[in-house]
Amino acid sequence: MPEITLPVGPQHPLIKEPISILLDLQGEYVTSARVEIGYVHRGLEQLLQRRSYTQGVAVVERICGICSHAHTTAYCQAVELLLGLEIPDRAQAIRALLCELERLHSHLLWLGVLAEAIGFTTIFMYAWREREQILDVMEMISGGRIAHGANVIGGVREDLSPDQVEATEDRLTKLQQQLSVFTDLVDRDKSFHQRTHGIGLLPLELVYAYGVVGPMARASGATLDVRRAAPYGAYRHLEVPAAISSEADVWARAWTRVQEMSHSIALCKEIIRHLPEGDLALRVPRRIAPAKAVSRVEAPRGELLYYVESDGGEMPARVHVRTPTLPTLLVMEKMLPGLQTGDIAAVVAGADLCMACADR
Amino acid sequence: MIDRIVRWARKKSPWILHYNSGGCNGCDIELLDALTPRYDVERLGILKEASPRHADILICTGPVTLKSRIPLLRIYEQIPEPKWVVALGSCACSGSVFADSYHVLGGVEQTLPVSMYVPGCPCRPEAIISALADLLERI
Amino acid sequence: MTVTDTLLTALATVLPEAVPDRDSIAGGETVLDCPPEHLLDAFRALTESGSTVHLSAITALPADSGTLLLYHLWIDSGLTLCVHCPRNEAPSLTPLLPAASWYEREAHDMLGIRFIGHPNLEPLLLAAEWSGPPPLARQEKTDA
Repeated sequence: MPEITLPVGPQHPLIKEPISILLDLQGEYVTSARVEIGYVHRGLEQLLQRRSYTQGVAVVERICGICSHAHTTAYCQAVELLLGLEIPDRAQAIRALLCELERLHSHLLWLGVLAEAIGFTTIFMYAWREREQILDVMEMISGGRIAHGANVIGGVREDLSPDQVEATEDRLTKLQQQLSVFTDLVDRDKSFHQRTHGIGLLPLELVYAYGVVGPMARASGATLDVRRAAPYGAYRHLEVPAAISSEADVWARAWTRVQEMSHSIALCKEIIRHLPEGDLALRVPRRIAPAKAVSRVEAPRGELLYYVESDGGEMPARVHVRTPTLPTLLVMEKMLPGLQTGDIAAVVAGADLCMACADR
Repeated sequence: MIDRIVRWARKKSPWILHYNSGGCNGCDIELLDALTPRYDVERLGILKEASPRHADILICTGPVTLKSRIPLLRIYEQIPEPKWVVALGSCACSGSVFADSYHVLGGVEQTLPVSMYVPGCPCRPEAIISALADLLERI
Repeated sequence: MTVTDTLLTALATVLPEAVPDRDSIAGGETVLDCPPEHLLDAFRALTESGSTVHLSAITALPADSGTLLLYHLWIDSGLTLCVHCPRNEAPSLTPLLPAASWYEREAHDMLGIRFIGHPNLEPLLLAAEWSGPPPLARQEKTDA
């Protein structure tokens, strides 16, 4: 049977972002895969060297729309480490609250996209409808649905009033009830099981060899979660439960993320019930003395690392960003061979790829 | 007479194709949001299509990066006439914060003729619906 | 949290002159200097000690001569190996640890550093049309 090469992307209805996956097919089976990225490369690292630290926050927020708060948190944290600052407790709590809300909205987004990829459009509509509740809460807290602008170097920009705290708690309680639709989907829906069980296996050895992080790794049995391994900010006072599966297939990735959604709702409630009093932000100087810092944050897709170096000026000497999607994209070349063409959609959508993060 | 019927049919069912030529995803997910129950653009007859051959309107998000320029042109060429291009979001309008990057050419207008600019970072689904409704008035 | 003594002992056999430094990089990192010729041995020593070595990132920095590579690892806490490459080349970690593959390609894109032994050192992020110098390399004139 002749072998053909099927190019998936850069424009493809399944993937919302440009990526090129070249699949060699022998009949219905994938024999090899090659991933090519760079369509969304905007030269962030060089741009940040030409912006002041404060301007950098706005630039970094626009690396990725889905995990924008994680990026600004990691960046602000790195700069605060350069300055040797400990930001006020109230600011840390608000940052963590938005981090968890962002995790919730990202996982709901992912679930909808996976469902649409396997033909289950109803769940896409349900998941994104529930996601609107989270976006409303984020808009109420920060003023923006997607780009929040909540973080500043030294703390946060906006406060939470008692009314907003109550409204957030209400919405989260309603969302917790609605989550039962998604837990049922993962636990009981037979057609979902048939499309996702045993598909797209990622053994633990590959997770370690390729440095895969986040829910993708935890669905294969890895335990690394920066909130537990190296707690930062308000996570130093929070107990973050683990959601680890050993099934290592697309189903396990769905199960892990649905569990994490439940945990995130509980964490959000814990944060708002014990919101500490205090200032919102510290004043920071424009120039930062020479120093280096590494900041790690658990973004919705996994470990996000920022390396920031200052040289005494108003602009950073070097900013390096390592996003969690990079190792996932790399390991796709190992996960796709052996699949039937009908399962490619489930595996690619199930991997929660974010090209904007990867290409920067 | 036939022309009027065709134009009426075209106005009532504008099918869109979405391409992200270098954006952060913010506008993409707000565009997808417009398809979901709260905003529901299918009321206007808008469907998100898979192939450029089926689309009437190309919705571009994000600035045009060096690598994305050729794919964007190829997609535009494959959309049959008459076609319109909507630049969604500040990045697609002008390049926004990335305009002076070494790998960014600028907004979509650097590469394609744009019919409608929708600013915002990201632009809200309400802005998207309003822009598409305005564009439909002009068809 | 700091890197355990067993790991530091394992590394001491390969890097006898390196002194663990916990102050030069803020954020809980233990930093060790590692000459490029000992990089692969250092990794072997770490993996043979039984721990799971997670490579978080490779940061490439322009240095006065050549390039400085920082290998950010996570083995129960942060460990950064500081590798100074005066001739702008380094041994590739990819045959030992495939996770390094794309980080090395990106460093090659951004700073032009060559990784010897990398199976596929093609541009990762830059377009084929890019004909300029490596974007993050030091410019001879500084921009205003």
